[in-house]
Amino acid sequence: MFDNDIIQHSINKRRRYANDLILLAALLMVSVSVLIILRIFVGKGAYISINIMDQNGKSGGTGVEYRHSLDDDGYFVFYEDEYGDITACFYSDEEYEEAGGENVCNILRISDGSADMIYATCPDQICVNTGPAFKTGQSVVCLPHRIIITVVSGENMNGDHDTYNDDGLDAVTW
Amino acid sequence: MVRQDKRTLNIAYMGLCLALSLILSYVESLIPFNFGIPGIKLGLANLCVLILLYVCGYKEALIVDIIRVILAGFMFGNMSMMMYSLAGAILSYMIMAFLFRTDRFSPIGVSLGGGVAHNTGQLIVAMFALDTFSMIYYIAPLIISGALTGALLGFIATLVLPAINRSSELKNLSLDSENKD
Repeated sequence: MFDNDIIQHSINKRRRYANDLILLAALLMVSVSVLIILRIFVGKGAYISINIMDQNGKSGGTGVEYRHSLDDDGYFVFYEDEYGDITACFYSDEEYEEAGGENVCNILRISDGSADMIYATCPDQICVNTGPAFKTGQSVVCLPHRIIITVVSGENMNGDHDTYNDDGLDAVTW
Repeated sequence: MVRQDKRTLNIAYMGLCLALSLILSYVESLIPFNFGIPGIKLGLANLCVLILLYVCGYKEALIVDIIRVILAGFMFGNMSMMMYSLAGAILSYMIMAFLFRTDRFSPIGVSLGGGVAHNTGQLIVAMFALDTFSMIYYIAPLIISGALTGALLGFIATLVLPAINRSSELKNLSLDSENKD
């Protein structure tokens, strides 16, 4: 197609397309090997941090934060009471079958090392349409219900170990 | 005389491609492309850089690329997004110019490398700006999506470039020694 180009080509079209495929294969191999190398050296389990902002919406207000390991499969069910306050409760897969369904506004499912919002009563459904979050930095957010879920690692870039939930608490309010 | 005409034609093409790249940047801003990396973009405007690289030359493509980043940053984005765009655009231009110079790849391949470099540059800036090393895991989907958009743009370029070549003005200024009238 571009044999008629102004610039004289020294090799023909077929060879160029072959080179393109080689380039693509090389790039894919690079990405795979980067993942493998990272998996070997940086194998930290991931957690999710669930933040429920209070109705004032200001940072530093009395929000609630949970940390939960992504290896721990189950469901986070969010309830909204008549005052508009949101609380969350975690159920393992078996408990989830039994759980009641009143006042449920969101359901977050933890499985396969990812967190996915599978149910929400908000009108825009952005949180549901966001795919599962599994990598550090990914997040699932339901703004109408003030729910922010972020995938965090156990360590930050400086290597400081986060001793946040060593005392076995599920939630901390401030 | 021929050299002066070619320069005028280059300027015209640069203006055209700059305008086109701004439109593409606008379209880009409408498409929600979010991987959790703030400021990441699809890289559609690379099409214009690619076309200029083939039609005009290295300098022209680079000039339009930089101007486009600045203008589109002011028009459709914010300062922080401009930083990501600049990194992506510069790295993408370097890779595309290099691949183009080796003269061993089709426009699809050149654009493929450019798309991957575009996303990689943005990822590197994001990793430094947010101080999060573990974002490097994004390199896998970014390479794939960069290759996909790059290949698509390259394919479009293979359709567009022969049409440009057929235009009569360019024939008269062709770099070939003989005129094909």
